[in-house]
Amino acid sequence: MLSSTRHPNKSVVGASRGATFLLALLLSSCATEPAPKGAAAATGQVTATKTDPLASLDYASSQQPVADLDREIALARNDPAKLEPIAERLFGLLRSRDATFAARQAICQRLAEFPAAMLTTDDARAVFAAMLTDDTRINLARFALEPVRSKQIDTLFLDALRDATPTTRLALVQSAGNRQLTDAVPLIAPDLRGDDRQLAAAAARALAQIATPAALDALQTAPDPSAPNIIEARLTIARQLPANDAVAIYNDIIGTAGAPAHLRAAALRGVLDAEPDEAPARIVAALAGNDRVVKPVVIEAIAAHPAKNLTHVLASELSRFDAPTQAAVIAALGRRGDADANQAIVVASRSSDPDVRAAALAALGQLPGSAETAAVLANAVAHGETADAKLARQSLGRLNGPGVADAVIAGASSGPPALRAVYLEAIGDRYMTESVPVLLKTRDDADTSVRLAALAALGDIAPPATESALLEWSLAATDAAEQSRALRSVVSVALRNPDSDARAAPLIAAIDHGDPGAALRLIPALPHLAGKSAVACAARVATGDNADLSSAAILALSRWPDAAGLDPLIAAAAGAHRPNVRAGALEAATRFLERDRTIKSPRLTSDLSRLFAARPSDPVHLRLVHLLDRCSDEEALKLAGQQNGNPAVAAAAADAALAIRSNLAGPPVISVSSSPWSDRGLLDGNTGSRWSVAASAKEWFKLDFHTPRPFRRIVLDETGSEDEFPVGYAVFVSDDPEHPGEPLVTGAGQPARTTIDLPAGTRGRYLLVRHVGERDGTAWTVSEVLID
Amino acid sequence: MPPPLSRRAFLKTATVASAALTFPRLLRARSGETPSNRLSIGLIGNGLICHSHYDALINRDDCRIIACCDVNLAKARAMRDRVEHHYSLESPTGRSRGVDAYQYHEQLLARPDIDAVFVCVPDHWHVAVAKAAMIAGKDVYCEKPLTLDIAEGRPLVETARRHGRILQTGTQQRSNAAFRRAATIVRNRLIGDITRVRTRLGHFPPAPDLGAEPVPAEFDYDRWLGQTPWRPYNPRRVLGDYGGGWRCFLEYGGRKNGDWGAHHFDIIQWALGMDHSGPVEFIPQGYEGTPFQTHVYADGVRVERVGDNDIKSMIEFTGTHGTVWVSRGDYIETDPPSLVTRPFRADEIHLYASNDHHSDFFHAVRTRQHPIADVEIGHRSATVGHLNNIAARVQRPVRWDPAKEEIIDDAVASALLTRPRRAPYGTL
Repeated sequence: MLSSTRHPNKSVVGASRGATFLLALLLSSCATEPAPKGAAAATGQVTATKTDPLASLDYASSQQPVADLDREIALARNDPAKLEPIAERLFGLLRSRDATFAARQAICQRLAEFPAAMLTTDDARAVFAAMLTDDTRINLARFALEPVRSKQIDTLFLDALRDATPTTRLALVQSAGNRQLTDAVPLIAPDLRGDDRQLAAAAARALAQIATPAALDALQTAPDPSAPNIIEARLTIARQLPANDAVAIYNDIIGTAGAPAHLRAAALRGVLDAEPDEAPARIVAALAGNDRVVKPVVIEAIAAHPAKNLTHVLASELSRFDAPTQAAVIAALGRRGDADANQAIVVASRSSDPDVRAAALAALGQLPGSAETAAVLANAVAHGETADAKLARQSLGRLNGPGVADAVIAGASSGPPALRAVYLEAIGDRYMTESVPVLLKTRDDADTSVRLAALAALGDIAPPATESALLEWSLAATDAAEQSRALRSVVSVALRNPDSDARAAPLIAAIDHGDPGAALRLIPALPHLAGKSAVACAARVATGDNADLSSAAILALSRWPDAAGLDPLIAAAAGAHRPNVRAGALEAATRFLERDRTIKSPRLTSDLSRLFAARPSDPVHLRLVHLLDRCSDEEALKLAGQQNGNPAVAAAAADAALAIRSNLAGPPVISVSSSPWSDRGLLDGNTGSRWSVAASAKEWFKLDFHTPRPFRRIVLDETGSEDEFPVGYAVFVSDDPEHPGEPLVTGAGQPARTTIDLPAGTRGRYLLVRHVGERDGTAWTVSEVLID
Repeated sequence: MPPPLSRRAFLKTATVASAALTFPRLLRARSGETPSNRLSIGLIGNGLICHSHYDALINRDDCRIIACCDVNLAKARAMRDRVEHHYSLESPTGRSRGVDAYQYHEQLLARPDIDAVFVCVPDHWHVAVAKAAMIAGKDVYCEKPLTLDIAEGRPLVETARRHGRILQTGTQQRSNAAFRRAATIVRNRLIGDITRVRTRLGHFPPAPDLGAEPVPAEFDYDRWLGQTPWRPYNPRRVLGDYGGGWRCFLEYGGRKNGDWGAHHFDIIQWALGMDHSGPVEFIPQGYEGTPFQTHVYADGVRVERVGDNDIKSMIEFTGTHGTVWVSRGDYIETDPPSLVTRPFRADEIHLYASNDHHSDFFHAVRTRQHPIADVEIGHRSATVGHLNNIAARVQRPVRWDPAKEEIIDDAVASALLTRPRRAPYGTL
């Protein structure tokens, strides 16, 4: 079916049947206009009711007449009395000379939803009979008739098939197949013998759909039994036959000289399903052989095959197969999940072949488990290569069966340290909460790796009640890795406490009352726990007497997951006694605000006001003035005016005033080249929404800020579509939307975030970002535009 | 409530919980030994989504793209050039040849040296190309939604089984650890019995009315239309655009029920253990005051397609004892929060674990086991979207028998299970 250029003004089917590929290329630009009105020679055509707006429907103009028709049909759907006049109107249009192709197509698509009785009146059948012999309209008739079940419609198709022309025949053969018209078999069968390969293929498919003995007979006696279309059709029918009949077909295909190898393999696949009791021996024979086409098809059959002894047979024969085959068979046995496979797969898990080993270790986790399997897997975790160990750990984590849990606990309690560590981690992986006491007991174990494994498992599964015990463990530990691991587990366990204020209590007590060295280790955990009491603790320490602890607390506050960390930083910036603490807090607060765009006016203005009062250095002062650009309240405007006294920031303050006035005028007005329905995604503060267009030179977006404002930096955030960055960009800033002038900056886009720095002093009302270059087939996507 | 699990913490958990896939040697289906163990790949449909697959495939050691195909031959050539350019950078000689560009998928499928194809054509061509590929002995990664209508699905499944081929549906959310964890939590009833599921699919603009424009040279536009009703060529009709283009037209897909429903309904089917079944009733929005498009499972679980701002995540599962919210970007949040990191007991259900959809496909091709989004799963998930569209079309509830795959007692709705297909394209 290589040549395929069609259009309704030409021969809809078969026009280029048998045409060469070159001819298809030559014709490929011909699909342009639908048939001229009235061009078809359907009999009985009449002049259309010219007042009917549906008659003149075309594709480019309003589809309102179709929408109106749909509404009428929906209202009348359950009432034949109301549907009938609609049907009459539609058939009237189909009979008319003047209805456009678009109108006829819309009508036929909708008639498919009408009751069969309305499509099989004498008048209706006459209309359809004419269309089914008209190569420009046959598909339209098929749209109306094919979905509707009716003997009379079957007869319409059969009659048309008897009288088919070379150009309508293929469509009618397809319809006969889709409707499974048994009476069509003698009409279709000769097409298998013709020269037209496309028609022969369609006939084979139709006979497969009809699937009667007569259809099968036609296929069996086709002149070229090795033709792929014939074989595929026979395979399709065979699936529906009793086993003996099916196997005869499959064997015939397998023995057909010249049949493609992959279709013979499909026939063997059919044999395996038709004769399940014989399948194990056949599968083994295929797997032990060298037929590279058959093997993959046979292996695919194993996982769900119903033969009861298949697992046993494959397990006992496994070592006969080459390594790639063994690996695939083991994967299939894992999917089958029969315990019969266990022993052979345990053996395979020690294979010298890495693929076989990997498949076996993965499969063991899917099979019913035992203490022996657990031991095999634990050894592989402890002593296997990295890839094997990963797979074995996963399998041990999910291994289920009698004695497995006991084996894990026993292994965790005694034995070589390396194995004990594996079993201890397995307690966590398997969520064996009842074994938490076993884990806690290892605190006094002499081996560090055992203690670390227990701590990891405790972090995964221990309840909040163990938080204090873990904290003590952390504080008492002398090994740095153990201290760190224990503290991470403290955090994990504490986060399971639903009371967010209580969860940090043991940690806070240790910071407040423990020795400073311990407190220094614990403070970094505070932001992970968050909550009011944790932030209060960090704030207290930040302004306390111990310089090292103050610095650690300020660092912790700067990493706080939400804005709760900002207030204490500002307070420390303003009120800490030591200058270095004040400076550190000021820097941390400034960085926090630069990073976090969720804080907006009036809170942002208020925070900045407090930070200005903390007497920042000139460089920090300048950064804070720049942050005023994001404010949108009158207070911010006053604040900007108050900064004029410092020459180092006066110009920036004047710019900030411009930006604030622009913000006060309202959010920017967005206009875009394409996809206007998604343009809000550019500036909605949500990187989950996006504006996306083709990566083409014609695409752009423009922001109107109402009044001129300064621009220092623009970031095109591509979060979620990191590869859809602009090929290149050109940025224009102007006060004249029609004449943006020359680009101020051009450059290449960057994955994930495209950062564009603008020349100092850039000001204007309109910001235009134009895509530069083309990237075929991919999008230019912006999740958010960030402006400074 | 603590913040949702951090990405890093979650990925740590996910890594432990999921399979570390290895890549066994290829059981090569084609004759003749090759010097490498790489799978040879053909890309069919070289538009928007194909470029994402290019990005995922081009640097892999276990495969090599050797053929491209698009009815718009210029696109096939552009993709070929892109592939060859990349491979030339890896070549010691700085040259690379051997990637071919075709206009028709039959030409590509006739090559015996291709092991697997990526079907990246618009939705209305998925089944025709995927079927032809499997009959030609190729394994298939097919974009979602797998089908254009319900009638296409079962024959596609049967073709895969008949020929012993592998088909991975391009519903890659299944290979994301957050979605897997959400589904595992729900499947194990860790939030109790599920009472309601809500999801958001977004909205496309209405399909535009488009006039005729000249067909570009070397673009077989009639072939692009394929089985769908004839329409005049217009570049906006054939445009690949996640926010519009051909996706706006019901002729070429299922609009949002197909485009995003294929992802989110798929995850819901997975979580509810319905991969081989489906809902039993579909209620259109507005029917007797129903506020949202809704479908209902036999156990009473209702799935509502709510407004984009009505929920904080892409999918929300509510149970008698808690809630799970899950989205792309590795976002998962639970109530109670501890469920986000809780390991699963050995005797609990462990869902198929894949952390990379392409790797899972290649692993399936090599081991001949069904992949995470097997053809049956893709068909069943697409069916949910199709039935929602059918209910919307007939504007009344539609009852569905998922075992027989039949609409119950509604001839008009039943007629919409299939679509008439324009000859000579598309037979089931």
